[in-house]
Amino acid sequence: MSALVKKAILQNMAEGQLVVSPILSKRQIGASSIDLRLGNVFLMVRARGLSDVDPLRFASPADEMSDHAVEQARRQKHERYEAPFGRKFLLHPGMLALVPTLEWIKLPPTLQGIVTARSSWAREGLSIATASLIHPGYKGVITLELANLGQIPLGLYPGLRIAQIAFYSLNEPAAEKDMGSIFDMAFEPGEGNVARGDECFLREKKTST
Amino acid sequence: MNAKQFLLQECENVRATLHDVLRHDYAAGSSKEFYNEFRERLGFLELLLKPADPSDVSALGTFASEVSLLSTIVHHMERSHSGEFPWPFTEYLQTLATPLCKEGLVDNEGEPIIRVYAEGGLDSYQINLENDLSVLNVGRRIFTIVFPRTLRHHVLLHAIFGHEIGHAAWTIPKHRADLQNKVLGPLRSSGPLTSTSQATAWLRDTNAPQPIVDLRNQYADSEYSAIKRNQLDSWFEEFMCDLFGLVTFGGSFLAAHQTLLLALDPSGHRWGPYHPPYICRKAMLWHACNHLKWRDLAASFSDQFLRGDVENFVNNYCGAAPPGPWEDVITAAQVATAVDALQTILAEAGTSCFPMPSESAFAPLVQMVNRQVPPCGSDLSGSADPVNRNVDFRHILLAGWLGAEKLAAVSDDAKQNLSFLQLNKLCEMGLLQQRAIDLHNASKDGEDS
Repeated sequence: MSALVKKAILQNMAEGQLVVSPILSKRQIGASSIDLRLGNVFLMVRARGLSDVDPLRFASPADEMSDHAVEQARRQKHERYEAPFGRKFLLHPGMLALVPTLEWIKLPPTLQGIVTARSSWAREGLSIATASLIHPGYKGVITLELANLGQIPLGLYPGLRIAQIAFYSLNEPAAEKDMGSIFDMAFEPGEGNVARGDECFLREKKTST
Repeated sequence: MNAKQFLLQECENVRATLHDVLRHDYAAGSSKEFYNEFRERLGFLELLLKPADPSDVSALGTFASEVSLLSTIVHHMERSHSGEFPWPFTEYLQTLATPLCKEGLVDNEGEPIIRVYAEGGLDSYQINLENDLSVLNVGRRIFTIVFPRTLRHHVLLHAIFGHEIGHAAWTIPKHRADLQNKVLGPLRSSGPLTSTSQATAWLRDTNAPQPIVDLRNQYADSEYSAIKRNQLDSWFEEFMCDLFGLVTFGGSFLAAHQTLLLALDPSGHRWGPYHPPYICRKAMLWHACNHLKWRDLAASFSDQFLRGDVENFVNNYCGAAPPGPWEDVITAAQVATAVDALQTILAEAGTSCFPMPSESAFAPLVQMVNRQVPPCGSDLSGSADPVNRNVDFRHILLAGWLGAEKLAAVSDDAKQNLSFLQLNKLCEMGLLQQRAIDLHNASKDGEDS
């Protein structure tokens, strides 16, 4: 696996293998990365009476927990804001917000992406997060998990460059059956499924007496 | 508490609600304009109401209507918070509608204040421009855009707003006379709908299509069995607004019009107090498409795939001639005169008519849709110094509709094909990205582009 330099990134784009759209300015293209801009949707975690993260809710079969409860638990967690260009969004200290990139990304089976914060924003306390690996074959916007680690609010505006993506070539193309995820064709941030595949760990086993 | 006291109390209630509304983000622009406008209106209303004679039922009735109107608008503002409608589309829609509706109550300089909110129901698309405020007669008109809540992301269907722009324009005195004389005049100059008696005879024609005969029997002895004057006026307003839609939004209007109206009335033959049968509207649009040379568009493209896509689209949405003389209530010559006049009126108002796309501008958008990339003027060439194009947002919608036609034509393949909703979201994303491109290209710092 090796990182792509600017020339290779552009070559992949010229061949139509890689899409990063739109790139508004040449300043967005770095030596081995492309800057990503903030989209216009903000999914903010909110603390209310019914909001929590319990993997059991995602795993529960319908007979144990109604669809209503599952959906409500998911929806209660977040508040959604949609802002036009020019409008400020304040990310307060300790706040977590899911935001999309303005750019649409399409990766070929031979590349994966790594998303990190731009250093200028990181110095202000903005953390861009955790799920930074973009798997080969992905297409859609990228969800950025923004957290303010500083002590003062950060004003964010749709269109600002806040993250960057670097590309790594794989030693062979990813198999088609291994590509694709629940987040493919994402147009804006959504909730994940923290229980998927791990349901067996969410209930105590009843021992026979 | 008498009526006057209660109305003064309700003014206070509206003021309190106005303050509550500031908890939310507003739909378009800043909340300051709305806030100041309402404070002014409320203040003026109270000024007139306080000295009113409590026994003057006529004056109190008028004040009651005014305060009720303010209450309704404040409530809609509260519902107008972000997230229920597509921002990028709304901004582009404003660029089309605002020049046409730019008319203050006091002077002609004031632009209307825009509010946007969502309603339930497939037929809830609306653009309303506030009528004259007979009592207050202050401030600026309020311009309301209403989206169907469930169709929030369906930007392809939002092309139907072209029709709604027509209704808004019709309420503006300075346009109304021109529209009456130059657009409606030709449309109503001849044919079976020129008078109520002729229209009723047309409805009862023994040669009417069978669905009409069936409906006629169903409606026998009801208010729908004869056509009244107001009804005819409303019908022609609908015809005129359909021309607005076609002239402002082009082909995507045709597709949205057919999709939505046939969903509401699958037979296409129903009529009502406000709407003529869909088949008659479609027949009129067929003439308008001929006049605007929509059927020549495909031939102007050299790329055979693009030509094929456009041909399919045109055939589906404006290819079929009126099925018979009964449906064909307005002649080609009448429609052509009305379309030409409408284009002139829009141009004079500063509202741009749909520009037929060139191949160089349009083909990349269609290719982007085919590649499942949001269609916009983005430079995908891999250049180190990308040059992004300004693209007319209506061409993005048209490219989306070509994609929708292809979706409808192929068999289901979940891996490869988008759903109609995903296609709409792709185009919505394209509008957002185009907005960013427009802003960046217009920025004066020159930066590096």
